[in-house]
Amino acid sequence: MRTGFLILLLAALAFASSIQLVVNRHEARSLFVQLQTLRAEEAEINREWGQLLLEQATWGTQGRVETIAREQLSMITYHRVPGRHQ
Amino acid sequence: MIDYKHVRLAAGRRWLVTWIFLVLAACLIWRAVDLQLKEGEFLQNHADARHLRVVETAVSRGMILDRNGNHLAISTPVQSVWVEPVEFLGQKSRWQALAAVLETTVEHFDALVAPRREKRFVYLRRHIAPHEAQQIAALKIPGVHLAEEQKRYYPSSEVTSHLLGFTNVDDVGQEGIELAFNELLSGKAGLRRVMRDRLGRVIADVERIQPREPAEDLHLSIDKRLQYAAYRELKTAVSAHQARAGSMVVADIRSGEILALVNQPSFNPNNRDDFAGERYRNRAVTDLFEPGSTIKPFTVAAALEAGSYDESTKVQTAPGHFKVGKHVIRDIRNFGEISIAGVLERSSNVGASRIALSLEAETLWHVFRAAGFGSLTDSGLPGEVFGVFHDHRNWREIEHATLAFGYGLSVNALQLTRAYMTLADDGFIKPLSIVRTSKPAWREPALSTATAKTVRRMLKKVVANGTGKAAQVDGFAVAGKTGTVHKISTQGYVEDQYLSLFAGMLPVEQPRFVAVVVIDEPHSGEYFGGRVAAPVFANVMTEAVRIFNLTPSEPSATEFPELTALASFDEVWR
Repeated sequence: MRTGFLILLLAALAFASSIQLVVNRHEARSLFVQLQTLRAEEAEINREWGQLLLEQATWGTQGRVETIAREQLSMITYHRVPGRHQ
Repeated sequence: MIDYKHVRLAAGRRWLVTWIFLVLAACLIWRAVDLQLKEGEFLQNHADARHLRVVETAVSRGMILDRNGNHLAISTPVQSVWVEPVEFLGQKSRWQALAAVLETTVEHFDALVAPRREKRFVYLRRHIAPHEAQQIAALKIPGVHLAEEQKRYYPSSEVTSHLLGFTNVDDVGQEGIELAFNELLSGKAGLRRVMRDRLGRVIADVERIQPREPAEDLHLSIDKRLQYAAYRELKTAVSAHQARAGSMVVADIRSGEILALVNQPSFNPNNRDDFAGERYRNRAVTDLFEPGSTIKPFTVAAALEAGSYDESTKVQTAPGHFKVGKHVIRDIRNFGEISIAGVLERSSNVGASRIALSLEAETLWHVFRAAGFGSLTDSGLPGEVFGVFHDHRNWREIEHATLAFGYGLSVNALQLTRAYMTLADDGFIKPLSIVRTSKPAWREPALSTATAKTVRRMLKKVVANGTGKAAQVDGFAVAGKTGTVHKISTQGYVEDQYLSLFAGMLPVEQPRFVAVVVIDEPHSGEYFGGRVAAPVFANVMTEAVRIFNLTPSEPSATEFPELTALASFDEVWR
């Protein structure tokens, strides 16, 4: 009687665990898909960031800033004022 | 009723059927065991080969930044086109469309791919523009693929090109910082084993074979603004004086950090077509020259260290030339009897030689060595040279005399910078650093503090009254020394080929910056260091004190110009 009960219990547990295994597998797969999506997104964001940095650095080049200061804002270099150092 | 004969027959059938089933079951079990145990490994390997792949997790190359976090080198992903030759060669009818996008010819494809028919992977074109990549993807030619790669960009272009160097098409550093710090900047790509489905999508991570080591960003000691100022002024001077080349180094005395390092002629590192060895050499590091008069402060320092001279000691330079063996040492004119400060102020070769010859060779040698001549500056920049400085036991008398005014030894711009830094830092020598740092790796006494202070005081007079007047910076007392060097060729010293030098520091009382300007073969008719190199120093230092917010120590001599620009202020902002 007791042995029979134990067998039934173990069988039920084995069944439950097999179902759980399937559920977990499924969950792992879908989480993995999510991870892959996020990785791709990260790569995309990184790429955009790199391009923005490059753009920022290119716009902020000293030479460009100086040209705009001189030509559009009519600024002058203080130490190049006539009379100082040839 | 029961027909036993039939029953027996039925029993026989039952046994037959049972046996057939048993045999079949045994076969199945045997097969299962066979597959699982005997051939299991072989089959598993095959399944894995179909589904498991090792993929690389890419690491993008670290960025290079200046001391304030401005980006000097950035990697961004670009596409490269590659083909599977066998498949690609079967698509000749569609080559024309592809050639049009890549602006090349069908013949070029044939020449590139046909000989490599055996390969499975051939690059057609690397690093193409994003819009080209889109067009190629849209063509959907079988056997033509796009791969993502990294390309390096240098926003400051020519301004930082010698310093940073560049990478090759495979993103490996070839020159400059890119080469010196290649390992740090590269990082290490990770490797992981993944499972893929029939369509090639990754469905599971199986194993991490090698962890990904992200690349590190590198903070240089360079200040982008000062670097630009130095670049602009050097370029202006080199072209105004029709010079062959030029270099400038600016360093922070407190930490030994290099704040700016520029050379002329320069090149654009973003365009790989105009690379030529002549243009991309980092002259400030790799090129040796004789320091000429810029070494005289160290001759004077040796005299002071020896104890036989003090600031007021007089030296007889009349009649402006004297003989050492069969050689004659000359000044540009007869300065008569002058103090040792006067020797620096007037830049007297006779005076410097007389001082040197009155000292033991070993004393002179020792002070020059202590100031770092003939040794590396530990800057870590690739291609740095030791320079040439012979041991005093091998000196002839004429060498002993000419070393005093900088002939017979050679240095690079970094060494000269460090030597002047030693004078500036009260006689302490330390390594130069190209990486941002708060204090030098080491700092050792080379000259006595009193000597360094005295020489600085003398060098202040050189700029105030002597040959270095053009190096004056408004609001600050400058100490420095000019140099004009006859260049050597295979025929000996050449009369019309000069090197114009200036080395200096400011503010004199508590120096903060030291800078060296080298202008190679000016051909404008002017060649004196004080006329060609010193103004570059002054212009760059004027920017440096502004950028670093130094408080002026002297009254300003400048009358401010009328602010005519204010008139147009409203127009700009309207």
